[in-house]
Amino acid sequence: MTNISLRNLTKVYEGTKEPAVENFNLEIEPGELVAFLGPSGCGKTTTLKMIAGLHSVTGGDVLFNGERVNDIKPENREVVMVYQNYLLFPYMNIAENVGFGLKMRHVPKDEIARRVDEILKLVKLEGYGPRKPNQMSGGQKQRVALARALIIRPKILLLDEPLSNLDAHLRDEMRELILTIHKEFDVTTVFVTHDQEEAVLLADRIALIFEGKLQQFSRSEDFYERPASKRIADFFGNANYIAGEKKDNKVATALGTFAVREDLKVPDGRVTLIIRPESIELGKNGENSFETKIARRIYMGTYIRYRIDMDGAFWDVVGDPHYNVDYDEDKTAGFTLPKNKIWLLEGDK
Amino acid sequence: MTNRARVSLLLAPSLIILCVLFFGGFLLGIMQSLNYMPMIGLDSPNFEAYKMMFTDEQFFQSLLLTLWISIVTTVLVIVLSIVSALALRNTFVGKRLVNFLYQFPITVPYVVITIGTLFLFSQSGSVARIAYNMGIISDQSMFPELVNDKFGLGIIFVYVWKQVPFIGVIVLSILQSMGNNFEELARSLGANKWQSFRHVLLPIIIPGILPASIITFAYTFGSYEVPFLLGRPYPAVLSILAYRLYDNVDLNARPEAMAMAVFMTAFLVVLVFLYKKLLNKASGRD
Ligand SMILES: Nc1ncnc2c1ncn2[C@@H]1O[C@H](COP(=O)(O)OP(=O)(O)OP(=O)(O)O)[C@@H](O)[C@H]1O
Ligand SMILES: [Mg+2]
Repeated sequence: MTNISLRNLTKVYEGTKEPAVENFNLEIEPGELVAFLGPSGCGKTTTLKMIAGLHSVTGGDVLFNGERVNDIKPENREVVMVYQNYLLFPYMNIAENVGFGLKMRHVPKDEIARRVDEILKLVKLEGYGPRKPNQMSGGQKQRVALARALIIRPKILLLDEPLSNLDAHLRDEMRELILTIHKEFDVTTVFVTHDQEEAVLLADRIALIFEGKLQQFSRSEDFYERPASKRIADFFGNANYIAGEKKDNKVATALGTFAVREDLKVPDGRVTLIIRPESIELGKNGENSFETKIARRIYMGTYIRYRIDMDGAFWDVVGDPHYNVDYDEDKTAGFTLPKNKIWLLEGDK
Repeated sequence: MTNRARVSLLLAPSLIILCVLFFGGFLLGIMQSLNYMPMIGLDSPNFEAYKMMFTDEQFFQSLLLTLWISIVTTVLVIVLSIVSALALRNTFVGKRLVNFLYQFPITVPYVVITIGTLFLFSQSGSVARIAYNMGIISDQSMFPELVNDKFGLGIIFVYVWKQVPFIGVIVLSILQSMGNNFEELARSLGANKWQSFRHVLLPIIIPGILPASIITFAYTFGSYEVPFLLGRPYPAVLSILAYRLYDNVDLNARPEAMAMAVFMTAFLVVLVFLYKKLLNKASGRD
């Protein structure tokens, strides 16, 4: 199994000034399933192509198992990339498409045929070999593309937006298939997505990228509970903020002073307190509780959402799904911020 | 009036002219080739002219030369247009200028480049003179025969020079529309540069330029003015041989000239037919 290290990886395309990828540092464990997550144009595909050796690097290194591969040709890297739009060779039938990598390696014909059948079975396309790509649906094409990549037993599998061209139920199916394949082939896998939910559902760890810069690389829980910036917190669902002054594990804000965990590594001084809408408790439950006005009560079908007045700003609070507690608009109500759900960022901007 | 009828009516004038000029002329040619010219009293058609043609040593030499020139030209045009398009695909400094120069031959009339070639590359031409003056050759007659030569080199040069940009532009647009992704994919699946050209690029390019290559072949096969200026009197290409017979003071030579013209037309029709069949077979697999 192969580990991938990116060291200060940088790419500046010819004729452009801004780097498409800037100073990436990343360690991907052998057999890990990692998501590159970020908005369009942030450099996800570019990074994949540098790992695959399809684009040269402008600066920094790509290492597989500690060995620098910058100068190794793509065909010798044993890294396969699967493209978003499948890219099945139009003039080849499905079997020829899937067997392409083996043919390039001069594997004997009968062995190719055997392995093609085997892998088509795995992606549930048994018997589709003689068909042409234009006789296949989008989901089937995607599975052919996967089979074509897997047949050469790559060390690293790179999937560029594997799910974004599929409709909802196919996406679920494909997600399952990717997980199955990842388990069965034990292959280090990186997939690209701009859908935060997809990343959370599939990946062991997520690399969040904005404008060519790696923002945070960690388990998905950490993006919710320990975001490195307001922007990251916002990218992963809703977050409430309030500025304050930290001193000795207490944060003084306009709405009172809140106790925070001792292990937060934020120095005393101006801070931003972050809490998720679903982490706020209804009612005054001892420490860290306060009262404020309910500005809005929004019925969401399965639960109630409150918008509460926080000294001019508004916070979202997720209400009780069982309606045991229900507040009216314009009334004052009590809330509690559980100490262990509060996260702090340095500075109050 | 239905839409269809209206379209037919609108097309009719040009279609009639086309039919009269082309099929009418062609029909007359066939009739003459069969020794059937009722106006001058020949009213019993026969195959004498064809017999004469197929026993004529000159005809076969001309056919061979014509085929040689057309085939070599077409192959060279295909190879050079692909190679040049691949080179022009990459971005580099001065690409716009090179692009302009590349497409320049399209705008130059055949006669101009033909005469230019004659002036430049004949044994009394500029290049020979420069070589002589620079002492590279001791006599201008030592300059290699590049025009009016046995192998039709000058003729092939002109055709290739004119036609590479035509097909090259088609190849370029195919390459541009497919982008780099297919090749990159092939590389990541383990194909080296040559393999990805051979197994991925070529199968996409070739069907795209086949129709144009057939046109190149047909044009070269039938054209007249370039070999007229740059070829040898003997053997001459078919079009010239046929015209000479047609122009002969001896009116009896005319049926054979017509037989040759009919033969050339039939040859090209069969070629296009075979090409269509090939294409259908290839796309039938889709
Ligand atoms: N070949 C290229 N030449 C010049 N600039 C490029 C090239 N490829 C990508 N870029 C630029 O580099 C940046 C990153 O592109 P990239 O394709 O890596 O983004 P991405 O994160 O994959 O986006 P998307 O989600 O839209 O696929 C973009 O600003 C893009 O315009
Ligand atoms: Mg992309």
